[in-house]
Amino acid sequence: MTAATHVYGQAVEKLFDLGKADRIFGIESDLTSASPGSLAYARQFAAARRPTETGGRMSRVYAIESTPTLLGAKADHRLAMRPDEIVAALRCLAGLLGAGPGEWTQAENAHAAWLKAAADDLNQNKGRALLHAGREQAVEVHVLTDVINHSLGAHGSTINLIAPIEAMPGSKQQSISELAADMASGKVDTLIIIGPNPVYDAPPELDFAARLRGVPFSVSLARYDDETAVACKWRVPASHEYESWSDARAFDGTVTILQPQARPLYGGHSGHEILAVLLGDSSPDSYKLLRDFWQQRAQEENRGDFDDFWHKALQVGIVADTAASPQSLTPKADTITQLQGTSAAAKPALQALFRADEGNWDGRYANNPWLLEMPRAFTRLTWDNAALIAPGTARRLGLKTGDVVEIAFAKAKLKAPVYVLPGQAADCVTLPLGWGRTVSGLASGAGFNAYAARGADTAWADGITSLTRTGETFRLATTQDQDRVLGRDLVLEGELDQFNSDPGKIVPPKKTESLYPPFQYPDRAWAMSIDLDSCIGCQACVVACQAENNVPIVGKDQVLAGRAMHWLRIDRYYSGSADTPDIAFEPMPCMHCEQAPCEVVCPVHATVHDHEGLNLMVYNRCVGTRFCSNNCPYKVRRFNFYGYANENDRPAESWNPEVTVRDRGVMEKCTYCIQRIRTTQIDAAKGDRKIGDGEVRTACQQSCPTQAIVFGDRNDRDSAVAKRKASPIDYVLLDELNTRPRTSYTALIRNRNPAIKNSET
Amino acid sequence: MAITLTNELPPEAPVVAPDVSLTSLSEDVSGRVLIDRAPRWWWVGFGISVALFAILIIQMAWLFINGIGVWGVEIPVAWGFAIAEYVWWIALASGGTIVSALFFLTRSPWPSATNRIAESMLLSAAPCAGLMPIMHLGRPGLFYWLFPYSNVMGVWPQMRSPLLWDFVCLLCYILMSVMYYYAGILPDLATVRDLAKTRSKQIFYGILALGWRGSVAEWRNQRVVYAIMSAIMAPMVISVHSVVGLDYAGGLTPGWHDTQFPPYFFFGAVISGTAVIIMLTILVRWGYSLQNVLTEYHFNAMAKVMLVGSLMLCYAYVWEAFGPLYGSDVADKTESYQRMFGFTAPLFLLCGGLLIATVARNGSRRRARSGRRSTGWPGKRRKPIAIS
Repeated sequence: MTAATHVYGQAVEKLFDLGKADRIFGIESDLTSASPGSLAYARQFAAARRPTETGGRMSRVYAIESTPTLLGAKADHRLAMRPDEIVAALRCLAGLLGAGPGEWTQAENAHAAWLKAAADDLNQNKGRALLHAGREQAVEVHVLTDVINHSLGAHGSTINLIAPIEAMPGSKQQSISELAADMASGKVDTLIIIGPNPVYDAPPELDFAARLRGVPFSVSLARYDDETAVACKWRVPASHEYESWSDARAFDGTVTILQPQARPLYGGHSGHEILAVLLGDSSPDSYKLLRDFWQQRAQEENRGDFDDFWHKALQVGIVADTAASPQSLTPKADTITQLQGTSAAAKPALQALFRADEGNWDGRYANNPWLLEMPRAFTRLTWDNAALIAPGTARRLGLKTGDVVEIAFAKAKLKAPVYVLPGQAADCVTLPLGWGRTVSGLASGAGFNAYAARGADTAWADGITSLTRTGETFRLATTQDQDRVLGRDLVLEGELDQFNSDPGKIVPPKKTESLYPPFQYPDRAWAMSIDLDSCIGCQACVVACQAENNVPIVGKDQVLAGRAMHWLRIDRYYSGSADTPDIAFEPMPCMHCEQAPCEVVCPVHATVHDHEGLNLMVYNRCVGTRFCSNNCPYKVRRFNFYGYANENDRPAESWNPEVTVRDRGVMEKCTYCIQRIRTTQIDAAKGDRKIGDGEVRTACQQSCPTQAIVFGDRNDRDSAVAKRKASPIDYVLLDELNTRPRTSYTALIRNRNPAIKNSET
Repeated sequence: MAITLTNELPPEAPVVAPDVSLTSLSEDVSGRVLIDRAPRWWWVGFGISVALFAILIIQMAWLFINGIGVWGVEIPVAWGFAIAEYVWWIALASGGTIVSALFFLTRSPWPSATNRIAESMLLSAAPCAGLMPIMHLGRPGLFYWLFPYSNVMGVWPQMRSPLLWDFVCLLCYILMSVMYYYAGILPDLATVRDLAKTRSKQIFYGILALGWRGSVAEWRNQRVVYAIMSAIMAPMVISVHSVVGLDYAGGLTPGWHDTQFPPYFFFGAVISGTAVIIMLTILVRWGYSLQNVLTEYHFNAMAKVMLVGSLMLCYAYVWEAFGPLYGSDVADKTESYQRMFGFTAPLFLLCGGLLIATVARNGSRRRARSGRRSTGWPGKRRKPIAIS
């Protein structure tokens, strides 16, 4: 039984309005990272947390979680808890807020003071607060969350309930278990698998591979030779979403028509076409199928002239008036009484948490090299997953990062390297899913397959019977070795009341003295501003930059050798204790210093300054002395130690034709997407007009869900970037070197609850 | 004659053994050059050298085919062995020049004996030093773009870059070194020509000797040229290694950005160059049985140079540690601490220990006892000596 049926007696989905939420309480929440609508939520979330733009107001975030989430990293108060502690904490919170029986507050709780302060704060912000629990949480957690939300008056203000947008809501676990049972009993003679990869990710006790082999006629429609395709009798190449016509529903129910961007590169077919063939259409065309469907539906819904409707939907991108309307529901009266009998979740000595990987997700993106090499937000790991363990637990078990352990469950065992992750809950071992693929491809052999130990009933958490060191070690390729700022002014942060009273305390005044007169930039001065409050560490900019600028991947060996090529990286810094650290994300593109240290040391003029303040790379002039990289205090330059781009086996269509592909022995770095600047400049010159603000958008800016990155002309006083830079908490990195970077940062502001002592956060 | 290292040679101590006369010296030394069949040990040494050279060729081919990723350099440590070796070779070359030029200029009575060795070493080391930066480059074939010449790109090298100063210095230094060596060796080539027995050797050395006849006018000219070149070479060698130091001091990198680097590098060059000269001199003295000519007088003098060099380098080490401590830069402090106590601690302690050992060894006053081989550590009675 799902939480929604438990609470409301029917399936519902929730829409959140983070713009209205002054208090957000996340329970290992994936609201800004992975839940449906996370991009929109992330944007609302960040917009409400930019005190410079909101007149000194920002939301306050509490987080309790077993493994760090992106929302938890942004939390003003965060506690790492085991899953059983989370249940206890929520019960306590429910009791404090009057949503549950008062005796729930009597139970002993190590965080009672913290919870009391949080409850008071939530209570004072009724109607402007919300709780959100991540998908991995137990049903009880979701039920408690719904009940507390209801008592806080969140429903109807910060949360709207809608009918489920899925065509068939319900337990997928149950569905596949039934299928497996039918296959075992020989009831299935034809199985057509469109998309998923159950041989890889179905619970091991279903023994899906063997049962699939027993099915007389099986077909897989997949883009790759994945584990399921190999096990099927027949394989059909699938087209990508960008290669065929289709439609889809967004998180709020809005319908969009998906248009192909290219003809199928490898002769793939879409699911629509395969289904049409099964229905007897011998030469299906996904465009015609889709158009016919919508013609019929438009007629049913009386949407007027179909051609007008169709073209408008394609032009706007969405089908008008298809968003789900909010429903008014109240929890069933016996919701809490049903819970009262159940005791708090059991507390095993050690437990494993199964979580989707940030990049590979459930494994479906495991063959995307950009995602394989994308450093994960917290671990900074590439090309591997690892068993994540809290520093205290690792100390107790005598483990350190790179040790290989054997993790035994009641029915399964697996071997995994350990990564010690600050902010992880004690006694919890997070096992990222989506790795350990076996069928050929880039991801084969990378990481370990946590599905092998993930039973149908223990999908998100399972007790570990034993965890033993094997004595082996494994080299994990992280891109960041230093977790702390070590006294350098890299991440400036302050409190909200400090910001409102004396922002000069947060950011010391800029020093601008120099023996030399500054360069003048009379026309345009391109500049970037990055808001540390808004950066949620999602890594979208990193991959967008890689795609836009033809940045090659280098592979695990080269990442280990310190040669990752990302032009833009997101540094992750911890402060405070290792067990419950404060976390900060800091995107680092090229700073485009006005007095660039890299430029003076290049003997061949390969890196030079232009009249608009861009720090340019002239690839053809570079002889590869690498002095510029040595002299860059921000370490944002990247070098082609080998011919990475040549070695990357990728179709010509995948390279950006506007950007030079760099050869071996050449230095490269962020250019502020100069190809976009030049294209716009040429366009503006042809039209004899000025370039408007926001007309040039860098790839990182464009892909940032939270608008943390703003780019434009600093000389234009009305531009977004000039306004950001006028903020009292705008600062540049390593100011004392007098490099005068064009990329500046807005300091991190935390909105702490005065009732919670700092020692407890 | 056994080598007895001592600090206490009387002022009138003979430079060479008493039985050596000018004529016997010429014949003795030339005889070793004009030998018909090289001794077996020479072939063994030559074989080892050729083998090492073959390895170099293979490694260079490997490097140029695969790219400079093979060096193991990365971001942020973008400079590695190639640059370290470059600094090392250029230090050896500089040390050779210093020994030969400074002792000539200070009118030491003994220059020729070790000068040939020192200059030969510098002539071998300088091309090695020149090769390393090329092997360091990402696109080695384009190293000549650092050379200021009028090219189709219309781009001149960038005068603000220490690498360009380095390139210019190194180029001048190699050219000057060749000429300096040649100016010094000219009379010796004539001597060998005169003593050569076979026609081919007479022609070979005759051409090299440029018609040297040993007249007073020629000797005077040679002395003047050599003196002038010594006077140029001495500051030049200081400049060349100082500019190598500027490659680092000119950068912002923590641990590099230090005003003492130019003299620091020069100090390092003096000590390492002199040390290699001493080692080579020992080998040559032993291999060619030149005990009569290369006496403890020479070793004593070179040991003093080592001592002075070690003291200078000690000063630089102390200062290098003091700078970050006195300054407020966190990065500098961290770098300094990590170098002394972090990953590189063993290497740092080895270098520092050797340095202190050199000073302690040289600085201990011991009375030499004739016939006693002094290879051990200094005795118990240690007193500082006055360095004059």
